[in-house]
Amino acid sequence: MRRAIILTLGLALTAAACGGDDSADTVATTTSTTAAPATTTTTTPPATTTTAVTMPEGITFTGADGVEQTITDSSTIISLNGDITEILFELGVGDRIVAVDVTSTYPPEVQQLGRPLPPARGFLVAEPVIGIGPALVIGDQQVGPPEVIQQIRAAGIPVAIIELQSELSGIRTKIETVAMLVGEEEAGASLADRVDAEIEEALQLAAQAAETPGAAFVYARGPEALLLFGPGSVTSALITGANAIDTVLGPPVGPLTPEALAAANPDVLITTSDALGSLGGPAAFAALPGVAQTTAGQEQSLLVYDDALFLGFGPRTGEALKALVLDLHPELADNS
Amino acid sequence: MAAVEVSGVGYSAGTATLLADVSIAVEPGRVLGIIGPNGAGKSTLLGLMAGDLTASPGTVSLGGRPINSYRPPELARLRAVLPQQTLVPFPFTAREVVAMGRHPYHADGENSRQIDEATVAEAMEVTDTTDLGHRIYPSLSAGEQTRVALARVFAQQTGLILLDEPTATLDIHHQERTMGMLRERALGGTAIVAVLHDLNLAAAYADWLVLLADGSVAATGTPTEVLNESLLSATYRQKMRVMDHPHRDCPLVVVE
Amino acid sequence: MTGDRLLTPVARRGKWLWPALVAIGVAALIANLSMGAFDVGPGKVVAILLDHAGIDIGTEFTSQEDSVVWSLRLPRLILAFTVGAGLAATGATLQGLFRNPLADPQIIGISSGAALGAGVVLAIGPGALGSLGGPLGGFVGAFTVAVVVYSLARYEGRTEVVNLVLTGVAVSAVASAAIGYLSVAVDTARLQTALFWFLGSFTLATWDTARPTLLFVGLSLAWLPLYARRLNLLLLGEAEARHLGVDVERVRITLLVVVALGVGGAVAAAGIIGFVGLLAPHAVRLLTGPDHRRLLPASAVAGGVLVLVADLAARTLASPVEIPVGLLTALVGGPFFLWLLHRTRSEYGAWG
Repeated sequence: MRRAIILTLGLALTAAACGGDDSADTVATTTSTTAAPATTTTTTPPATTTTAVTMPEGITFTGADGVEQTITDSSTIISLNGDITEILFELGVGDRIVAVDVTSTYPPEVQQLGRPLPPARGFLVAEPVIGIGPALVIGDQQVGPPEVIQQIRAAGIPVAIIELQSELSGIRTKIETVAMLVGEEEAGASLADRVDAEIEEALQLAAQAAETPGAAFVYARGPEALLLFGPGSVTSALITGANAIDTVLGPPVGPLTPEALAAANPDVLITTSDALGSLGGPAAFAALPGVAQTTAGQEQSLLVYDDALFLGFGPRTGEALKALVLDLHPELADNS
Repeated sequence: MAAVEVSGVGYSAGTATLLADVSIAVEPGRVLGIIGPNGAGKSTLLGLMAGDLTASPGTVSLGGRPINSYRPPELARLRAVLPQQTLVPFPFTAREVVAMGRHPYHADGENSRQIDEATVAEAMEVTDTTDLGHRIYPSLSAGEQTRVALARVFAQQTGLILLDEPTATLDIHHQERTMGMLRERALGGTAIVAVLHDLNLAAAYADWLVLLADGSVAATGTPTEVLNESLLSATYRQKMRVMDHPHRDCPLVVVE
Repeated sequence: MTGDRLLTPVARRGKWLWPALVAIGVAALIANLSMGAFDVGPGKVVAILLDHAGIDIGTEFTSQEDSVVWSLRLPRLILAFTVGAGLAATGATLQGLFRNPLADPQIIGISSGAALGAGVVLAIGPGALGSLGGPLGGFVGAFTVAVVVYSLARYEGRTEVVNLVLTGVAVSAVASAAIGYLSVAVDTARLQTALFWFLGSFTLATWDTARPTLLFVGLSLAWLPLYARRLNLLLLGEAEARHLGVDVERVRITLLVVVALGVGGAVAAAGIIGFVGLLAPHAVRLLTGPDHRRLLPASAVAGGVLVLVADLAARTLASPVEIPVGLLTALVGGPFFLWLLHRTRSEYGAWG
């Protein structure tokens, strides 16, 4: 008897596997939702009802993941990356953001959004996103896992994936794409102009520098995860733009090894405040294997910047670049 | 036709020769006792007869056919084995253990059900283990475990039963009773082969004895023929005396 | 089947077992469908399920609730139950096969082999195999490790506790290193993160990802009970089983194949979730006894329910972040394993 049960169970599972269900909702558009279900586990305050559908005809957007979607509404937005959040606020639509993940730390208004989503770069979870029920989700190519993106889309919520940029000239593209997605092309164009101008100003300042020091960017998530960012990364673009040499010989993101550091032998080491904090401070940083053997280590030349500011590659890049230029070339302080 | 026959068999493990040139035929209805000191090759011989080990050189035949020509399920209906070690460290009940002896017949279908039930009950009664039925097997004493294992062997209903020291853990009452049961089975037509430690039990209950020493046959014959003072003393390296048993019609061996 | 009723397993204290399992199972099912990052009342859940069967009972629900319950939670629930059932049944089988109470797919390294196999397939790209590629790779990896551990850990027909666990640890270490390397060297989007493989997760469950696993585990679960009697006999001892007509070598290899199928399918979909194969069979064995005819089905259901409950906790304890399921099972299973290890010195060898 028991054997019959388990046999049936097994065969039923097999049958289910062969048959199965394909009911993925293919609704590509969502009209604005009413308040999200109010429960104790909800992660954000309810989305506000809005009667204004922002793009009546809808736009067809093919994201960097090759998926084409039709977006008709961006009245409530989830932003999965810090730079996208900053752009949205600069465009004046910050009030449409209903949720972000942990990488969005600027501007300070994001703190009021309540508990952030799990880290979107690889650890996103579908249920909270669907629970919030935004009109649109925007993220870059690194968000995932891809199955979760699929799950969110299957629930009828479009997820717009924008291209990762690693050149300073690409920031304009990023801004304009986001602007288009939320129906603010004009604001986007002027924001892009402004940011480009700030970057240009910093570049020209850098051009006046007397020397070209060697620099290397280090990132850390605790002492066990040490990374060296090389050519192709956003930090490399900043370093080069600041009229310094990116001395790292490796890939855009690679492991930090004493050999790699020795080969690079930068005059200046650059890192972020979160990375430094995860190591335990400047003393711990200086004690990392290989650091003491570099010029930077011996002269204790370490530059530290805010994570979102430096790595965001968003509207504040001009500011970040200028700060880097002045730190690398102190003699330019009077010219700025 | 012999129930089981070994011809010129030898067996080696690594460089050690455990058996050499042993030839024995076991007839149905007879009790064959295998005796000898430790390391003489008794268990090895039993293993060859059971089909656990492959003779090299020599042949082992069961019912006229080479033993390795049988598939395991066929063999299971022809011969049953009581091992020396009856420890089963899993909490089966005694009855479940006995019932496993019916496994070779479980594919026989509907008709075998009643037979299985009756056979198990009978086997347990004969071995005086009926009351142990619902006890957890590993919690039984060594003697009780042996009797339950014996019941399992009986339940297998084979024409040949091979036993490796079946009385080693039993008290005197059950020793006599067990050997008596085996004799009765033999009278019913089963061939019994038992490795025995106790020379007097062998004397009293075996029809035929094989005395092994250092891997070869030192003597074979009736108990009276094999239980010879000088032979035993030499083989066991212990002075022994053999006399007529005062109450039974068999020899009595005592240590000097 | 027919001979079974006569030789029916002795009824132990197990009268409450199936009612209890079913009751907990149904509760876990409803809880899993209702609870999560946001809750959907049981009434709505029922309405949603019936709606997909074409029945309208009048209760209203939003399309979000429908999407979450039907497209997210339901396939996830089914996958979780299936994985749990597969891991538990294979765990019980391995314990019988190795005559060792500490055997479980993860402890003896089979799960790691499966993860490596699935990972390699995903890294290279499943190609024509499509969604079957992962589970197939898992199967090959699991079977390879099973054979290796089996050959190395046996000595004179018995598997000593120490040998088994150490062999498993060694093999696990190698496989884990390989998985770790792969997850760094290969694009994460294709492969899943090392975290997924090592600690397990049902986050990625969709109807598409669940299907191949249902197939593999389903086959395994359907096949195993056919060997229940022979597993019982194996517990008597290898020689005894042979004497009773069991073709021991063939049964062993077949069982390893069946175990590899189940573990391969489970790990490919959800990563390594440990201790289920230990917790479920041992808990159930107290009520069913060692007879595999009762043990296997009960273990499967208990394992399924166990993982359902674990996944519920994984989703809700730290919402919206999801705790890896394997972490939770290790939290409970680890101490249990240590206790079991301690008990292996007792006369029953930790089986009582």
